[in-house]
Amino acid sequence: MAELRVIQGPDAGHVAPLSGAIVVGRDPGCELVVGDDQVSRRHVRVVSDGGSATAEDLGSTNGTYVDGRLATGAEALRPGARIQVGDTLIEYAADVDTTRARPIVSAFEQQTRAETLPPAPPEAEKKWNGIEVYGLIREFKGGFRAVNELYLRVHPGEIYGFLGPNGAGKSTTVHMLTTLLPVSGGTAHVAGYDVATNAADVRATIGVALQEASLDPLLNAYEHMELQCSMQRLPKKEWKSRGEELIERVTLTEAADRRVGGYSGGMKRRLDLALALVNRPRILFLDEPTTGLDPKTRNDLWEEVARLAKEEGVTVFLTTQYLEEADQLADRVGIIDRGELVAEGTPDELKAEIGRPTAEVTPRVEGDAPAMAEVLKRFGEATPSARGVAVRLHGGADVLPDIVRALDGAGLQMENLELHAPSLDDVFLMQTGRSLEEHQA
Amino acid sequence: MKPPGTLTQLGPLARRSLMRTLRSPQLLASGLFFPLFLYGMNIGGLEFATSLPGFPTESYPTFALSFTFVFAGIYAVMVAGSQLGDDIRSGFIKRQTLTPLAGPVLLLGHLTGVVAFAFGQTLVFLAVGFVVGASVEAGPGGVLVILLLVAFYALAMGSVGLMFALYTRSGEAVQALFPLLTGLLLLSSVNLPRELIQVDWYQTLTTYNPLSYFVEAPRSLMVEGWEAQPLFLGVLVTGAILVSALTQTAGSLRALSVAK
Repeated sequence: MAELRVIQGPDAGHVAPLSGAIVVGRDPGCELVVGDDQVSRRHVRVVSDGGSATAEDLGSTNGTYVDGRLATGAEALRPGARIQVGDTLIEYAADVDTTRARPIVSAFEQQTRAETLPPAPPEAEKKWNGIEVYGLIREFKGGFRAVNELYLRVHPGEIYGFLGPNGAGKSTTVHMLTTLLPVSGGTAHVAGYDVATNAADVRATIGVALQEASLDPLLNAYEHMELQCSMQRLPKKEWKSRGEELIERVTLTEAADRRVGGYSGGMKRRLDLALALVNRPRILFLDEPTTGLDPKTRNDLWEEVARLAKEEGVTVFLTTQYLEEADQLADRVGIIDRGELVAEGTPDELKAEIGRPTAEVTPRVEGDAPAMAEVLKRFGEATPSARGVAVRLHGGADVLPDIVRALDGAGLQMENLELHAPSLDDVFLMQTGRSLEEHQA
Repeated sequence: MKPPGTLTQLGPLARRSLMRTLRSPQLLASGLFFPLFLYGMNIGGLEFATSLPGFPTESYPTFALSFTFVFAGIYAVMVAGSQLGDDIRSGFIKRQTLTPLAGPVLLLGHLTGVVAFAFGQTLVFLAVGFVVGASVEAGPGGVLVILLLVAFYALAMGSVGLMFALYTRSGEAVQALFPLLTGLLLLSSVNLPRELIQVDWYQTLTTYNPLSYFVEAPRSLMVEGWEAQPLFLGVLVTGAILVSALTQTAGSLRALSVAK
């Protein structure tokens, strides 16, 4: 039998069996009553004929959204469809086997769902500088899903780090959010505008620096700036001053009259960032902005990005495969793997979920690593590491003396013993069973 | 302050297109020296053709100079197409797509730069032609019309280049057209007037070859003076190519901006 599950709102957890027609609303006479004051007395009717189901708004004040789209008639519901009424989110579960135990919704999924809000902010909120992604899908020819039902929300003014290995779907997501790639399913709103239907408004609001700094090697920095200013339709009188201001900000003034073909990778990245800022964007998308850069250039870029967010209130959506970058720069991190968000939170929150440190032991004799791993198994999950053996400890750091004693007792000598606090890689490992650092290697 | 109009936006785009050609020594060399080299070979080796009965002029340099003008048109295919193809491949086009710049303005920017270069090429070709003995029967007005004709060729052929670039998304693929178009040029009336070609199939081929009309329009101004028919046919064929290429290009423009 099908059922409706309230997964967000004051009545989260309520479930109503769906057989025939039921009405959702605040009225006590409704089959599914929700105590949400944004919901009308009789808000939406959901009808199931056993095989399929539809949802029809009953003239509610705030409207009904099905999978992020405003319902204008009897909207067909796919299995798992989300019905948004007021601040309440209801999931349509088709063919529920009531004889089996309910699947446990993970803490992460609950969090993600709890953060899922109506995707179409009203006109008055168009200045909102956030990003809302609701069940976003990108399917390529042959059915391969690069992004598979992605849900996320980026708050105005924050730096959101989108972390994942190569091929995880980061760039595909950025391309969809910046209107460069059509979405295959779901919805996404950038600064309040739907990327599928308001592409021009989205583009006017955002700045984008894609993975490859797409610059013309035959032009110099000033010429790039002039070109960008003209394309962004800045008044002609501003072209020179705006160009010089941004070139100075990314410290390229000395090289600005040289052709870009002779620039280093870092200089190109900085110019690319400056070009992305020409139109004074409210939201900045940076697709792996520091890949291949030396540490100093990377730090300089981080400082500028952090300054943009803190001093100018620019919302930054940053993809990266560098754990350190996400950890240090991002206010919140979303970890993506195989097109799905597997974890989300502040770096500290994510690491706190792990809670357990890792001890890494370097054997004095290289061939001792397997024997050490055997001994260390009793302290936690032992895995080979770049320097020897890493053990994710069952307990805290207080077992270190025991580790030393155990290895000594087994006649195994250590070169080094290090204790690592939980990292974002541990989070990735926990969620996917694989290490992000291994991917990078 | 007022945002810039289309013409103001066009300036930096056209300047970029022109700069990319002028700052590439190999492009500059192939655009100027290669056609002049072939022109030199032609007037050195085919001078005897003027003694053929019915040959319209005694000056082969005058007769042959049209080759360089048509080459400027072929070159426009390469420049416009390879520049746009490179922009698509390098991702530069994405930067442009993310701005409020209208797609047609972007393409017009490419074409304006290409036309400006073709204009410069023609000035050089005419100057070299005059030095080696070519003349323009239609006088200074004829020179001006030749310049305008070649600019029109460059516009039409440049549009063909853009069309191919949008279709193949590759600058290299557009460059592969060069031998094809050069072969087509050699199968036109570039070396002999059509009426003097004795071989039937070859004459038929030149008649159906649009490049023959590219050749014959400026040639008529240089050899005959003001003759309406070749000019009309030259403009007509060029216009047809332009309209056809732009129609195709407009259809492909959606690829530049996927989610309107």
